[in-house]
Amino acid sequence: MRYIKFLIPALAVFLASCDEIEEGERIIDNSCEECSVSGDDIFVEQKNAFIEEFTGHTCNNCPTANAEAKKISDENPGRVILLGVHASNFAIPNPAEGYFADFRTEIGTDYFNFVNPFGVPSGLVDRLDQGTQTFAKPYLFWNTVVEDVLDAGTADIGVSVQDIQFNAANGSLTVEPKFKVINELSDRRVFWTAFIAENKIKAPQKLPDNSKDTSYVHNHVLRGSFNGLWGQPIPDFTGVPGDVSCCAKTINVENEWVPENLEIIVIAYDRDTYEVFQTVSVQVLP
Amino acid sequence: MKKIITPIFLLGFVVAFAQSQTNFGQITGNFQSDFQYYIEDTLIDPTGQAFPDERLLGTGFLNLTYRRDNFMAGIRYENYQNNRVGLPVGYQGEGITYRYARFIKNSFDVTAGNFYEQFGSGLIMRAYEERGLGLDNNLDGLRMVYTPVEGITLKGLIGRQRNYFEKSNSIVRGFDGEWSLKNTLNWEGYTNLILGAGIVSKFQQFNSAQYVYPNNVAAGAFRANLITERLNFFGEFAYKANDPSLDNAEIFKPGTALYLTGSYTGNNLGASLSIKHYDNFSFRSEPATDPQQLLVGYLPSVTTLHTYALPALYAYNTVMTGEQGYQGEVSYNFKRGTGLGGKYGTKVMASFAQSFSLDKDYTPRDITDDNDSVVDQIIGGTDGYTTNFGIGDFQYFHDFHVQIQKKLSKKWKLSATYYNFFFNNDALRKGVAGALDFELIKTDTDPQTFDVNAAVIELLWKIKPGHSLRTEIQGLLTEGQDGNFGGDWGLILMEYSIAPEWFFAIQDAYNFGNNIEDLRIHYISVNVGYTHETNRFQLGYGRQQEGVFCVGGICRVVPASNGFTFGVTSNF
Repeated sequence: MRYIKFLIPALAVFLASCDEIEEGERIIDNSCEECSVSGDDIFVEQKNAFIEEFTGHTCNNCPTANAEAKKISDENPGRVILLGVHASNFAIPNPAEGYFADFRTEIGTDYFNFVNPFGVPSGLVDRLDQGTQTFAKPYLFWNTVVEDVLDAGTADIGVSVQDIQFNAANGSLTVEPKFKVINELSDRRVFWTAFIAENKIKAPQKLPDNSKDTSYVHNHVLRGSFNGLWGQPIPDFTGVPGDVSCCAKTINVENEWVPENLEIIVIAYDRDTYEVFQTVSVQVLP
Repeated sequence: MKKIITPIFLLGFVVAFAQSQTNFGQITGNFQSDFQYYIEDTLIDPTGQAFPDERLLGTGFLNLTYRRDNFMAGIRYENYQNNRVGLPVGYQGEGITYRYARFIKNSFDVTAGNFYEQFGSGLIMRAYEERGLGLDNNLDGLRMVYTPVEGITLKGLIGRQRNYFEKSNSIVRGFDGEWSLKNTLNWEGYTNLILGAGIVSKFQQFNSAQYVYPNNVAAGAFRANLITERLNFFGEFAYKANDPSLDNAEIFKPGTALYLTGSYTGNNLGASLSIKHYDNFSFRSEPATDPQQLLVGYLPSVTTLHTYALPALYAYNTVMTGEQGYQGEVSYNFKRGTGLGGKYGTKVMASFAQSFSLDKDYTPRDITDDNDSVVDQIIGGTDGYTTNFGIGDFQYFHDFHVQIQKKLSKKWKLSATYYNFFFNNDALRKGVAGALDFELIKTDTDPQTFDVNAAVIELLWKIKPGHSLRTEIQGLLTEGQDGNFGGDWGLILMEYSIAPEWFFAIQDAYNFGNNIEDLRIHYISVNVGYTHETNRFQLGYGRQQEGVFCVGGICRVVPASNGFTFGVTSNF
């Protein structure tokens, strides 16, 4: 009996876990700032591929996967966009062993939990195969899938990310992506997300031989998003070929980010199957 | 289904021992298989929904349970090739859907694998199976029951719910404690007071494009049950934190549920009164799923579950997102030799149940266009409404029925029942009820309702020892907009039994009041059944009228069909 009086409150506290969502935090902001589409906008219509790589600085196999992603990208110049999502136990800072950096983000962790990969390193290619065991793929599979994606030639949606305004004085960064339907998509729920990623970050990384590289350069590190993990619907989307629309969103660049090293990655994807229709990446400061 | 190997290996091992040495435990089981061959009948099924491409559909299951001393283990194999028309199409395929090992020793009871469970009346936790509905929300995980002293029971569980042949993505955790004072304090006599409390929490990850969903949602309940020689009072109150879902139009209002019931038996009199008040209390482990899937909690319907075919058409479907109501029932057994009892006695029963919407003040938010003009109002993303004390705008249901059962002679028994229903079709068949009443209020629309009168006479004639003829004569008249289930019906059923092996039945359901003249037709079906020891075989042929199958306030509509049916059940 003496154990029970401790057991009951402990269980009650554990089970009482409950998230209260306050009134002002319930609705996801799907609004857009002012934007416009003109005849001068150039849409990227050639199909690109998007690799989202789950990684962590104490994961000794991750540099190998990262090198594979870079190799695929280098072999297909401008057509393979990379994003490093630092999540899982391997991304937790471990100052005792000299891994001070914390590249984790709330959306990155949410995404990792949603995908629930078998581990790291692993990655998604154009978010294909959702609902199957191969949604998250081992890095040795990436190249084959990327080749299939690129073989499509033309994307279903063209994306233009020419209009970026960065105000160095107050740190505000605005992106104004534009979308053009190439192939019929009238029965699809198409969303867009704009991620912000940072390159050239020097921070320790565990290597395959379990040694620590203190000068390791981390690229394409997910820093955040302009419109949350899942983005928002493309405004006034009809899915009829030729239709265009746009949306603008602003965030504040955080102090620790280096503007010269920031890139914006815009994806247009199917909200139901998660399949990415098109991905475009641009530097904040060219 | 990868996990099939382990239980089969386990049972194979056990069977081998069971065959060689009888003291190695005991295996019991049961088997059932049902087949239906569909014949195209464009008159009753113009859209072909009850004429599947497969023509022949078959389902079945086998349960095996092994017991030895304090240990139990079991598996269930299920087969849907494919599921019969009217049952959830998510059941397709075959595999082991239930396997467990259980160990009970001293005051500790542990189950690993699949299990069913209920806390109190089930408001916050009821994992159960209702095969006829295609409902099976068992948990796959761990369950522990501990009885530290006589009369006190502590339960803890964690697991994921079955979702057809898959499992829910969400985790369900629960803890419940119950104290039976009579057992602990050694009270003498009949009186007992049982107190209980439980808490259940789910962890879910739902990606909504519009709203931020809580990952953890908890619900708690407390209950009391007073039992005396003639009286039984039970009450349970439950509270649930914000839990937006597609059921409740994605509102964030916390939910409450109150269920009270009391009964008296004695002196040939039986009486009971039950009261329910459910406010936004749909509790599923995932917020978007099929209607019968992933229910964590169970809300008693507080209505009568009718078994005769025609009254059962208007069975009640609990409005989980908000309703209130009551049911009162009185029965009296007039003793033999009295004026009303006659030579063999007479039993009279009357029941009245009524359900209403809650009295709500909606608190919607405006949807505006680019010019900030309000184009719509919705409740999603808000608390939805505030609840007031009182009756709401809509009546969902009433059920008044009175029944007389009388043995007329040594060979004849009579049962006669009259029914009167008020049926809100929008609420109970289309789901426009509870939180979704807002759609009717917003558009100032009256729900589609029916008044239904029905009567059933059942006669049992014991022709000679082992031979009997049971006859049902049913009639049902519907008044209201457009009718429902074809409007007015008459039905006659004759069932001849030769105990204990054979029965032969013929039924004619005549839809004489259908609004469409061509559909005023007879649905004639014949059935024959044969029972041998613990095996039963049943063969049927004919037209089956559209029907509703309900258990505990959860309903499923079965479309009209034509064809052969064959079923086998076996126990061993």
